[in-house]
Amino acid sequence: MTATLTPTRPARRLVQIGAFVRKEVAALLRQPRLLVVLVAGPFIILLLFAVGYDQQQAVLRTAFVGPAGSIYETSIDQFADGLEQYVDNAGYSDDLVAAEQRLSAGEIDAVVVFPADPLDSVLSGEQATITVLHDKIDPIQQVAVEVSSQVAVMELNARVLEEIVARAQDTLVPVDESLARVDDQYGVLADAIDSRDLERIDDTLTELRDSTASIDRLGSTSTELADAFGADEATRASLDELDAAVAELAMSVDDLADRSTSLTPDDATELRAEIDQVSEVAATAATIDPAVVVRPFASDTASLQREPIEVNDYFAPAAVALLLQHMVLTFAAMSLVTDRTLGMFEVFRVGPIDAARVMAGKYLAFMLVGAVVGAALLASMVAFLGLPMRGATVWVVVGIVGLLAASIGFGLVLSLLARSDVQAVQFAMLALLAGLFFGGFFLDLEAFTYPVKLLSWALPVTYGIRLLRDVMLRGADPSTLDLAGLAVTTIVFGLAAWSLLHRQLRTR
Amino acid sequence: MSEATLAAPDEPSTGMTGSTEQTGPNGPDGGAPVTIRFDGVGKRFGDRWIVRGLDVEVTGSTILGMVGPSGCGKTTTVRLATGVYRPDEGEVTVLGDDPARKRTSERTAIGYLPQSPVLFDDLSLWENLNFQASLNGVPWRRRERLRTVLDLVELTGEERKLVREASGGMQRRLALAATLVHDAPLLILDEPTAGIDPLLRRQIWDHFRALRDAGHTLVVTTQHVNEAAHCDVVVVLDEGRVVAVGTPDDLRREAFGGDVATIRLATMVDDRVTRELRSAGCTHVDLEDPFTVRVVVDHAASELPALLRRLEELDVGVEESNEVHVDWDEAFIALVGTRDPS
Repeated sequence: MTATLTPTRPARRLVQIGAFVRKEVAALLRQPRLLVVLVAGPFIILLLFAVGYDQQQAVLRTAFVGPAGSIYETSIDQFADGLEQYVDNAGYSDDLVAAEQRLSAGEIDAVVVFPADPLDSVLSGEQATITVLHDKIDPIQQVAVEVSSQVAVMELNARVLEEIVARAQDTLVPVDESLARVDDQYGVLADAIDSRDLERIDDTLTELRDSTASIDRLGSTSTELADAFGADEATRASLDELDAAVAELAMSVDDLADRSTSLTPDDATELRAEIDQVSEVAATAATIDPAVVVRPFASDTASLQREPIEVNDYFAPAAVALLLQHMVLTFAAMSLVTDRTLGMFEVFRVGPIDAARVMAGKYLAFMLVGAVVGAALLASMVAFLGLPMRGATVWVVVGIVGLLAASIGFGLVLSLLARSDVQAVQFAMLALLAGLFFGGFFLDLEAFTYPVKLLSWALPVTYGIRLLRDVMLRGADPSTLDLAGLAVTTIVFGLAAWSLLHRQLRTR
Repeated sequence: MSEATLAAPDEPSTGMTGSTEQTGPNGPDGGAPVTIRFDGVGKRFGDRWIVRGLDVEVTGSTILGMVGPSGCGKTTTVRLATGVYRPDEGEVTVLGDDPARKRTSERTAIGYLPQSPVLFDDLSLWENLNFQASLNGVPWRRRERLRTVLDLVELTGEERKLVREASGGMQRRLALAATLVHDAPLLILDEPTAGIDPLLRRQIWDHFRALRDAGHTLVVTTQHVNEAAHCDVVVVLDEGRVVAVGTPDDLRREAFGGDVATIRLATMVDDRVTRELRSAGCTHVDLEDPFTVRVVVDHAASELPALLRRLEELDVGVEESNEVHVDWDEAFIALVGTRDPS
């Protein structure tokens, strides 16, 4: 009987490794509730997240407080549509106390307080300070309040400034408008000369002088801005040409004004030629709109991605990666601890089995379970939650296999360091927390500095999250760093686990 | 049955030395290799010696029983034999070499039953047995073999039951089945009958004897001292020392200094009778009741008739005389003596 019960050496290895696969899988299948939780749990959480997450909540409800009837109130009213991009306008009032009460009651997220008399401050050479009040304790929300409020305030500030500038420098109008006005005024002047209407001649010449001065100021401002932004030679030359043409026109208008009582149609014809000259030069000169003078830059963000990435899309691959790491890590950790607690290590020591075969069996078993759970999760997320799968599926498979292998090794190491099953569970929870904070789940890896960042690179989930996001969301191939990271962590954790298990199975 | 040649006991405090020659029903075979040898073996944890001065040798197909009170060093001795522990002094040889240095493939020759059953609660009895079979490299076509060992431990029909639903006795039997499943030539069983009812215990011992008859060597520890009678050689341990080594009969004789017999007289026992019995060669003469004496002689079979004749010459009527197979508990207590609790 002994002979028939002794297989060949390779066959025995397969039989022994198969023993662990069957045993671990059977033990897990005996816990259907656990499997349901593992597969359905994360799916349901993401489903609830997708359904329940209101991205509009990210737009802060903001109340504005300032003097009644002030320039701010007018600006906010006029700018209501534009303001919606940045904040949810919760109204304008002059009652700061009431606004603060609303803030304390949680009815609004922020209060923007305008100074009582901004124009005086500005005119006296001081900046008028706009204060933003909020009641957030979450640092991320604090940053959101500050950024949103600042952007909104900057935008509003510019609007107000534009208004102030427009009021104070009424003549700073676009060159097209000034030239059109000059054309009109020329028509009136020609008629007045023909009809010898001296009063109209004087009035029109005064208006012409103002219009010419407006074009001159705009030209000067444009020249200064062009200098400030380092305009090229051609731009600078065209502005100089405009300046010269406008100066000549201004001189002619002054000359006509001096001889206003003796003007003839020829004078009008000469003036027409100079106006045409200014128009011709202005058509090519890079004059700048007064609105642009106030706000030279506007921003428009565009993504290189073909499709927009929703919040739940962004987190879903990371959630799958984190869940898979946590699941197989916990299985591996608990499995070896259970074996040791039961006394199975003593059986291993006496029996015809070594650390490598024990580990091979555990790896295969948990990779099988992890792969099934991972495939089920991803498939259901793609099918039912619309999670994009823009890259090659084979890379997702490679990533998951690598993540599972590295995580199992990690779990085995933790189990061999743990002294009890309770300690193993605690280690697994710590690994989960580390994955959440340092694995790039919701905080960018670049936010960490060395040596803490080394912890990120030591976690398999870091590479898993990056790889799945790259492949599934960007549609890109995984980076060499992530593939190498998974390979290295698999090897390092595997060797460490083998070394520890081999040592623990040695004779004492 | 086996014959054991025992060395004269040393001082009890330094242990005893014993060896078995070829045993079993197949007849003596002096050339048989040594299966297990403990040569001056000692094991300590910290400063405390758990086992010391262990000299035992087992050859061929034998059932070696190790009896002793709880904490006497049985499990440590077993772990030394399996290679789980390395001795701090002396040398252990199992199947030709140091068990701690055996290659993985060579360990299929050992079947080991730890003191606590190593079973997985979430698996069925069949799955646990199947796992242990795989662990020991039993090929996949093994259904028949599994059924056989389950039948042996009377678990047929219970295969699908989960271990967590099985009684302690069933778990113990399953663990035993798992040890036997790969049919190892050397079986090291740490308290295999603990928690098993007497009827099944007897069947298990019958199977152990059948295994021995088939050429296996068994090392069995037990707290059931009476089970020593089933062994070919018994090692009595106490406080980490070998108190005695030998066949069950030899140990019984050793416990009392010879064979024990009782003689029931027609009249009350008096001083004259006890004096005569002592002078006739009885090493111990004790009064069991007013009419009965219990005597210890070297060989009851040959000396008891002579004693009876001597009493007849003294005109003392004898109603009944018997050689007594003293209960093993009593023999064990006699061997171990009264221990100092400290």
